[in-house]
Amino acid sequence: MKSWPYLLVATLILAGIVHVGAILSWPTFVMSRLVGGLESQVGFSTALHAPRADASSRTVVRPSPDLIYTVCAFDVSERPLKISSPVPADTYFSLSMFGDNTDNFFVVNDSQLEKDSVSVVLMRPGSEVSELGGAPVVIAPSVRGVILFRTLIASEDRFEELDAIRKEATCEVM
Amino acid sequence: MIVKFLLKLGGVLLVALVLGLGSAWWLINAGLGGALQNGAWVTDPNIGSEQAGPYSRAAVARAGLLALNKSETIYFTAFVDDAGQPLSTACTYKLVGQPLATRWWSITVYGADHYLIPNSANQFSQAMNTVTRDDQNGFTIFVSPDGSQENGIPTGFSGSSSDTHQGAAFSLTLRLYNPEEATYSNLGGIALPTLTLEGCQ
Repeated sequence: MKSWPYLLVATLILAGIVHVGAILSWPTFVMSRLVGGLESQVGFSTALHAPRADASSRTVVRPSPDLIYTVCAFDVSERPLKISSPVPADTYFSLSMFGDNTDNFFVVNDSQLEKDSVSVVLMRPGSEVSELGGAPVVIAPSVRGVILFRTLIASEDRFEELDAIRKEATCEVM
Repeated sequence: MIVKFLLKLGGVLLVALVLGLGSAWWLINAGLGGALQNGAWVTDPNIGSEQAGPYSRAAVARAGLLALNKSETIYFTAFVDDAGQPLSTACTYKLVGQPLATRWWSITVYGADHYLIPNSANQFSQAMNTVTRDDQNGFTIFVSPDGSQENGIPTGFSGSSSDTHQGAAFSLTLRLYNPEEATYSNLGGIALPTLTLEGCQ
């Protein structure tokens, strides 16, 4: 009996399983590498104020040279996190959060905020915290992920001012 | 008999690994977009969204990590010009755009590795707040080896021995921050910048 038809079918089935596994695991692999890199640089729940993107920037693909970024890696498996930042005037600013599968599960920008600062609490489902301080709560779909603050460099002569403001952003364990 | 069986099993596993990983990597590298085309530009409306499928998430992880969802930002990418020819760092391209219904926009040049291309001017983009506009509020941007034209963005190609003779592949990303609903609800129909080849070195 010829065995090659069975071998061909087995090969294609296995190839399909490998293909699906690779596609499903790639996003979490890349995010875990990013989170791990941030953890080794500054640890969890600590803001890293990235320098303005240029040709030497190699941490995240396709960075925008027109924005300045501050980033925190989060791990809310044990304690919630309080995330705060002043909001600069007359330019685009946003606070966004990304789960371990790359999903952007939360974003708020300056035009949606009534005050000149933003403060939110990030926690996992079922987490209990006694003091929220009136801050809105965001439920993280994964215990680990990334928080990103974006500030548009509205003009070159405002760079110093905007750079100083974005460096006041904090991610603190509650 | 056992040796023959093990050889066949090893062959099956090897070919399956190559096929499975190769096809996955090829699709991941097919890049952001493909789901929706507008002229030379492609986008995937599900970028960053919780409704994103596994292929969208994989493409984001490869070429658009930490991308925002479409109500906050739309990302269009161009790998080819309006004639469908791959973009080359050895060539000059003219982008002509009309006012875009969005709070802020930018156009950025990226190398084939998805990072900013080194150039002596440290100029990587043009944006709504940097570009010179015409009487109708439209704009013309040139992407060229030295980026010396008005509203220019250099691709860094010098024709030296370190450059390939034909130039290298590159791509453009058009970011639309806080797009109006008319924009993000009609991604295939809005007027985006045209992208035409002017010539090559």
